[in-house]
Amino acid sequence: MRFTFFHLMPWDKFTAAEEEWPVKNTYFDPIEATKLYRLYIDTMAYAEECGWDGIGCNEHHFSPYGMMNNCNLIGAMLAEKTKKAKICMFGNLVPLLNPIRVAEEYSMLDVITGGRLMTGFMRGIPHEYIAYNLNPDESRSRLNEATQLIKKAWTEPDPFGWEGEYYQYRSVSIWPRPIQQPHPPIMMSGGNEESARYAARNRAMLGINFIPSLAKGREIIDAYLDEARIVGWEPGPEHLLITFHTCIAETDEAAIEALKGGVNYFNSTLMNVQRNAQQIVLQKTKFYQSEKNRDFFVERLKKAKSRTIEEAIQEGTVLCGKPETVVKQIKRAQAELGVGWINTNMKIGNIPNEVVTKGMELFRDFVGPEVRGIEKTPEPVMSMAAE
Amino acid sequence: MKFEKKIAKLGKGDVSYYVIGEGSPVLYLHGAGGLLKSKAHELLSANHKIYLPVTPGYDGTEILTGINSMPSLADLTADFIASEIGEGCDVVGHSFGGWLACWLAVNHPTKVELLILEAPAGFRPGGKGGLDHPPEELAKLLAAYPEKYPDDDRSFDMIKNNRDDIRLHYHKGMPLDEELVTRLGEIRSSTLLVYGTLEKIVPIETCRILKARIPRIYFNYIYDAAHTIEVDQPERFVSLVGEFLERGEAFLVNNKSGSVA
Repeated sequence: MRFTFFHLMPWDKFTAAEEEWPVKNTYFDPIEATKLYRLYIDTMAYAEECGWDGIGCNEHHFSPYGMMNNCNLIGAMLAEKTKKAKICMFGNLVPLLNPIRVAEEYSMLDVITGGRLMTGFMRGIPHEYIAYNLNPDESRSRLNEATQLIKKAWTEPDPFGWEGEYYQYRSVSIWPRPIQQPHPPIMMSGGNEESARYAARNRAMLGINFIPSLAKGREIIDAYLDEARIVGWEPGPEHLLITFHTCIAETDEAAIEALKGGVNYFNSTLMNVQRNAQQIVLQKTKFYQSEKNRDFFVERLKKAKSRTIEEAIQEGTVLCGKPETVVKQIKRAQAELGVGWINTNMKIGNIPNEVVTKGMELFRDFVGPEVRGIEKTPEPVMSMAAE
Repeated sequence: MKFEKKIAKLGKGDVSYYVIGEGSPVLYLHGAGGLLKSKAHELLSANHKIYLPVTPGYDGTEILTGINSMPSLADLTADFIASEIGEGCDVVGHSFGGWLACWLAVNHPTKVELLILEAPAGFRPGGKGGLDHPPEELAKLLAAYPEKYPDDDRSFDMIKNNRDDIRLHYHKGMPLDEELVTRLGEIRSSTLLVYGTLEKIVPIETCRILKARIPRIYFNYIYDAAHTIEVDQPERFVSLVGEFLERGEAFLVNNKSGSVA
């Protein structure tokens, strides 16, 4: 098994639960945030010392939900503070961005880290299309085209032009080009079976998160494996990653109590502000091409909000408890899903940072040594075939 | 705007051709399937007078005595330009026509102003790619969106005969024209090379060969297009090629207002 340490970098001092997205930024205290950035970055770098194989973050906009509107900036700082951990950009919201810029920044990170970059090609969550004023109906087709363009920018030996539906460039030749060949690992989101199949067609790693049950996770992974076989390749555990809210404490009770507080704040405060904007996008656009996928997204959010921590533990959708308990939960997830990577999100909402750090040390001393050898997960290798 | 059919009376024999549009002249050289009059031609004809000769032997026309190789066909094409167009013109060649256009540019450089090569045949090292596939498979390789094919008054058998027999009359099925490869450096025209992201008939190695040897060449992908780029993505093809025809190498510089990404 391999583990990545994920951080959303929330603004955890936000209290105005009745606000709407986009949240006015007078709630944001830049002086306080300077300290918070430093703390978060130090925590992320500490994950390497505690045995995590990778350190990850992602991109969000106009919200206390996460303070990373460009996670590549954080990635650059982590590159400097770490020696061997993968730097996991999970990821850039590719349809919202200039794809050539994404290719360039990812390449820089890959070279700066000596080939430790893992990339995410994400579509984003619905309301972010309001933030960057792009039509949510086009989110999937923009992701399609941008993905092909970025891969070409990474791998094409000659300067080239691109005449596409959304992107036109007359002459591209990025400097630097990536150190990993043919290109750095790509992870795509497996929020539902349709997106899992899309990831398989792109020969990308599959990243799934916030699943309502392990059984649903299994269905998504099966769709991914099925599609990969249709297009002629066989993913291994190294291509499968699942994200869990994770809280490790000295006792099960302490972990549950801490996670309850963090999840409650996360759901009722940080996530709450974007509820209306999200509804508008979901109801008025084709962000999800099918009603089935839209309904699944809505249900997943509802369930995440209404489910108790005890229920989530029962369903295997969080890692929470004392080290022995978490070891069992990891073994269960691995056995049922066959994943090679677990992405732990430990700074959930306003969980105190001391609790996070303590949990990391318990992982280092007890959990990691027990679970690391469950499955010998090789490095993910990317292939250029079957685009 | 309509395609007008004409006959060129050349010293070596008659050549059928079509013409459409008004504006600066553009010679279009068709692929091994024969002349498919496409939406791309119609769009380009808004600003250009497009000349579309039918290679002798194709689409039911007669083969001409002595015209039995790519260089000899290039000589005939030069005669066509002199007779029907004038001193020189911009040239677009698709697949087989791209191969021919390269010979024309090498042997008759004054006849070719801007050169546009659209997935050109003749540069397939190791025989990669090619047209030798069962009909159903070949159809999928030719066009990603076959429903976009324009109406075509030619029969299936005529097109098949074009591909199976007539093209061999000119190049014997040679995948890599080594003599031409050694002379690509002589091409003086500014050249635009276009290639579909779904291309499977012409291998990417073709682009590498051309890019390495033609001095002033610009390589462009057309997103979501297979071999018949003009069928799959006529608007993208015309947007790019039209810009190149209008502005030459200055096509590199964006002159449109508004946002990019």
